[in-house]
Amino acid sequence: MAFKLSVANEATKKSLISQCRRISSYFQPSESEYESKPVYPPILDLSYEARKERKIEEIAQNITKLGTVEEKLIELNAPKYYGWWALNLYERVISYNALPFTQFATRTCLVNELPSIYNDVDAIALKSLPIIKDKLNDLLLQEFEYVSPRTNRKGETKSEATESDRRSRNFIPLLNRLLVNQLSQHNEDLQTTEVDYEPRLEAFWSLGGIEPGKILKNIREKNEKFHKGKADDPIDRPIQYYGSPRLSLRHNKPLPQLLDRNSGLSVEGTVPSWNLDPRVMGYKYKFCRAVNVPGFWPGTETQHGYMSYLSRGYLKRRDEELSISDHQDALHVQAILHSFAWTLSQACYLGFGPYTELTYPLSTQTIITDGQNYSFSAYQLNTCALYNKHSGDANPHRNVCFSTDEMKLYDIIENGQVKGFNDDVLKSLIKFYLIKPTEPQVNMRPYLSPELYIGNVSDTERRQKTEKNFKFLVSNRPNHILKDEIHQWEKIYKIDHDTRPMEKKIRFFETGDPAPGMKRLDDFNPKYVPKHLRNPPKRSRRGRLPVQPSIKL
Amino acid sequence: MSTRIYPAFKSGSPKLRVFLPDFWMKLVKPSHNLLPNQVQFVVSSQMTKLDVKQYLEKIYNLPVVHVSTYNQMGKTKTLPNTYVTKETDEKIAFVTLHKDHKFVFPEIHGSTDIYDEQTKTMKQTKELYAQKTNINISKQGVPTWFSH
Repeated sequence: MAFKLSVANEATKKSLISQCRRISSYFQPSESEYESKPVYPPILDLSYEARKERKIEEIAQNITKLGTVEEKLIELNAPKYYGWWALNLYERVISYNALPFTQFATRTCLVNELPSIYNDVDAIALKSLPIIKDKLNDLLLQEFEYVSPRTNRKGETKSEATESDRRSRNFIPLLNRLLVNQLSQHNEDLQTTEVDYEPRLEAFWSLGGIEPGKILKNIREKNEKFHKGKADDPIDRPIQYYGSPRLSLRHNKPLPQLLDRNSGLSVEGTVPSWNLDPRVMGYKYKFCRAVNVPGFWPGTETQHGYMSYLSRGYLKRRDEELSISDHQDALHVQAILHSFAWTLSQACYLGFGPYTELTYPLSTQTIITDGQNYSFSAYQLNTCALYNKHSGDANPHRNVCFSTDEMKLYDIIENGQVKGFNDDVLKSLIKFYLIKPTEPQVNMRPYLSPELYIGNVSDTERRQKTEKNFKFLVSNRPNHILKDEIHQWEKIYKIDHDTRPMEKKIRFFETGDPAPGMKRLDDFNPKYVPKHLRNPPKRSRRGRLPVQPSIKL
Repeated sequence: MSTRIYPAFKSGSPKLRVFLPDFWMKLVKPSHNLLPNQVQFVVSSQMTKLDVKQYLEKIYNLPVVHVSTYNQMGKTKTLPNTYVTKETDEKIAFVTLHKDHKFVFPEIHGSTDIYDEQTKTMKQTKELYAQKTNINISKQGVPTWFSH
């Protein structure tokens, strides 16, 4: 039966009909109107904590769903235009007694010996030891005896720390070249390794289980509706690590796993408990981008870390600040942080990351040396998602760091002779080069699309935009428009004391706009393009589909 | 270091006299949770990190490992019908002792039971007053027994 519209005006009639069409839908008769078994939507916990957790989980899912490495890394930055208020950790700035916090922050258990995998190559190491010992003797004399220290015009040398760093910077590449040349006959994979000198290493992760700051605590105490008795509930803190090994080797096949991921130390290892704000250690928070760079760009063929050398000159600078020397703890901390950061950033290039859990372990080897003292460590990354509750009991996995104490290669160099040479140290050094990388029998990139990297995507616009934005983000250059800030006089005379009520309210804290720190990455005015150059050209709003991607860059 | 005026020399006057320094350190309750081997102080603002360390090591024989300081701006407040004024700035020092050394801030005023009770009763009274005034909120300026 058709309805007859009794409207006098013809134009009104037309518009009414068009509106009716827009909101109407087809009638689709189903075969059976009722299901035999009732289906209900899932019953969700509507408490504040549960909702918050679901929100974080949704963010994690959004990142995991993305197809290419670059898009995943950009998405980490999506909520923060001006960067995350993140704890900044540096390779050469280590606080006193930092081991418990470092172990908690990286979820690592520490073992004070090397894993059993190195016992398998004992025989080959012993065989090649005498030849290498001779050559290393010459190298040590050349670098530490015959080279005169670099001085300025007055004959002064720089600080001991700088001098030590300079010597290790010269020595480590030569040591690596010597060992690779001598051992590539025993381990053919060494011939195809790539060497990086002082590569850039940065890693970002989100750490759960940290107590809230003073401001947040106050807010929670005031808001009794949601936070009654829960003012001290732990929160997530982002962490950004900056480092640069003296030398790193990488290969197109990953290292074999050091121990099983689902048993033994990987599940039962002890990680110290911690809930304090990391600032009590003397570390600082800063606004910084979430950057994961393992020393090379996505798409490089040799993208699995094999080994890295770190220097230890900073320990001398540290001794001046602290009245007690705890070198051994500092070396463990340096090894753990470097190994975790390097494996995590490699994991990011494989499609995992701070919000996507690993499906198989990654391992790496680290040597910290200044030519005379050596500490060896082997690290296995079993878990890299440490956000929210993954830092607590809900996460079954622990990372494992096998780290030896520092050992002396020789006692002293006198009169053109190396005295007190320690063969065990050289043997451990050789063994590190004899571990053969193997192709794992698992899907290495379960969370990536077949294209893997944005460079392989055929959509030109998406490719170019993502590429450009990714490179800008990881460059760590400041934004074109700097962050709006509250000046001290404004804090006193406008916020704390309302002494200027008649002034026009135009600043962000007066107008009620969200704080600049809440600005999202896609929250900016796009570049102006003249109408005739737009692709597709601007059309009327009618009939346009509602498109809302997660980030429109 | 002392800012006191050193006495002028007079022949036959007593030899070099040692004055107490201007330096002072005030042990305070930590403003936030610290590690067990950390202590918070308010120190006189001309003291440096080295001074803080020397003070604790030489006078109290404490195993100081690290000292960090910062200057905290004094709080501002408005005097009634006059200006905004500021209290004096303070230097805060966080001292890290050897990791085996533990420090717990002592309870100076004994248990806080009496204080808690007082605050509780005060809160109850306030709530009661709020309830009473809330009944009469639609007819302000009228006695509470007035029902129309």
